[in-house]
Amino acid sequence: MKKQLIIRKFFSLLLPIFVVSVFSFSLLHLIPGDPARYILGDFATPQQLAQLRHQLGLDRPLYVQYISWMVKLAHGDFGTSLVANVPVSELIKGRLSFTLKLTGTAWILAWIFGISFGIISATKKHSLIDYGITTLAVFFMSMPYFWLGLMLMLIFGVKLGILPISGPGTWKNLILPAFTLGLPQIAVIARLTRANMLDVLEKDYITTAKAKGLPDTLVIYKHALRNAMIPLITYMFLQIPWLFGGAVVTETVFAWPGMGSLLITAIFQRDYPVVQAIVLIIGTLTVIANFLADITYTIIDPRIRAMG
Amino acid sequence: MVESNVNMKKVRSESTWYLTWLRFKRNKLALVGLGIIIVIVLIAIFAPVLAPYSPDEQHLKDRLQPPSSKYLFGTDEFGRDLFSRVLYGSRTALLVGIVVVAISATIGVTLGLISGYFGGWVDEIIMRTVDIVWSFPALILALAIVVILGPGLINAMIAIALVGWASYARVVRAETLSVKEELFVEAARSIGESDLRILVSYIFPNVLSSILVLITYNIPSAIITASSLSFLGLGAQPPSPDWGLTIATARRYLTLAPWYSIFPGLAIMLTVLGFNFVGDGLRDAVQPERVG
Repeated sequence: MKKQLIIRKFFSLLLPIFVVSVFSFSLLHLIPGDPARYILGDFATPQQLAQLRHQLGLDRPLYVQYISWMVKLAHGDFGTSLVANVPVSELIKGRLSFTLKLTGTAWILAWIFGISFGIISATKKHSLIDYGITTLAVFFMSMPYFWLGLMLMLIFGVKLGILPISGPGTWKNLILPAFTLGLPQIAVIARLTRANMLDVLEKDYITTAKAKGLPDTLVIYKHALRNAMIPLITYMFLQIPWLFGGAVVTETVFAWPGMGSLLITAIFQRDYPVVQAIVLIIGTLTVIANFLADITYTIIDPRIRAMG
Repeated sequence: MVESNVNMKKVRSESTWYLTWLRFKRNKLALVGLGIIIVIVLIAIFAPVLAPYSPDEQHLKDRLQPPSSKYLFGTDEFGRDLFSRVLYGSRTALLVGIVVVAISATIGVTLGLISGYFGGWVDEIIMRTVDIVWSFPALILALAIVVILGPGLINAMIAIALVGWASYARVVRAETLSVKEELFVEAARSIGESDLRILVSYIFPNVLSSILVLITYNIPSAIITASSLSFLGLGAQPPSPDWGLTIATARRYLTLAPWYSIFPGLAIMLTVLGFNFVGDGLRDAVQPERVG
């Protein structure tokens, strides 16, 4: 039963991926007017225009363009960058590891600190430290990434001078961007953990466990936390696309050479094959993250298994 | 009989709003938030009266001056008064909030009502689209749409609105599903009311409180996304006093003139904070009614 459900869900994955691919493909074609003219500007010669149209495949019927685009994608060919004149896949390969390093570190920071603060807040409900954590959380959730990044740069890079403020380099260069991306997520996770813990701590089985005389730490970590984590697990996946979104701004602020800053550069240079590729990658990732969230939820929560 | 049933519903819904307000009033943070929003709205309206200088007025002798009694928030690289510019920037922020919410809510609520009420394949198509749009990182989707439409504040607002409707559709659909099973909808159908009228006069008023909560959360997220687009150079264009755009320029002078980056950012944070406080308060105030 469960297996069937998962197989069915797997097929339901194909439709959104198709939609994402059509959307990324359309980016070039939805530009009002002639895309070739838009990319090359007003002073392009007819030969240049014709050549670019041919290079982008614009001189063929739309469905042929889409199919050949997809066939090339299946072979790992994302097209050629119009500016750098190298395969887009090469460009992205060089950038991807930086983005993964940044989002991965932020993800780990978010869960370590988020859960810790959430537990402290929930177990010391209505104490000064609880108010401190919840208030700080709301503040961090209300800042745009780019400003948070600049302020961290100002405090730790400029005023205190203890951390490098931009560019890649050693692990020290990763600290500020990772916290910029991580802090709002820490805030979200701390709030979620706190709310779920408070819910669980009121349950009868917690009272039973306490009445049995089990030590508080055991009750909190074994009985309460495990159950409080169930709704949070889906967020572990759902959060991933958002981290990639935040990475675009964070990478730009810190001159971090990842995929996000590549996207922004490509947008300004009208380098459409690069833009299409990155939107497609992040889109597919989003769909997969959702799928994984859905699947884990189905596996963890027995109530859902029966459905479908 | 049916008449009186409808009237009773009306009376109850009015008192529900009143009870919601009473619960909202008890939440201190929510009141603080409401205060912040009122102040910002007043600033946006009365900016010309409140600002000591015109936002575009250049004092070339006073370039990059730190905060002083003459220039409360200091000046920028053209010697423009940052205090005046931050005040005027509230107009862009609120404009973004209002326009985005108006478009998103209209699209989302309409689709949500249709989806929940009619069900079937219409529901299936709308909801699968919602799933994709809803989970896609808002900024990236907005960036992609700006790529098509071209940079600029108006295009940025349209892009953000085209991203934001999904949460309305999702919530309104879920609420419609439960409201359409209520007795008063059954009654309306039995006296021959049209589908359109049932949706507009019977179901819509009952999902309004949830829409209101969504709006208070949607405004700050729209403001953040728009300011991010402006920061990246794809939203508001110079010489707009937009907060995100101001910070984009200020970034170049971070070591030389830190105040330049600090104040517009504080303005964004305060605005967003205000709406988030109100959103939390409103959500808590509306929720007990949902349970009952």
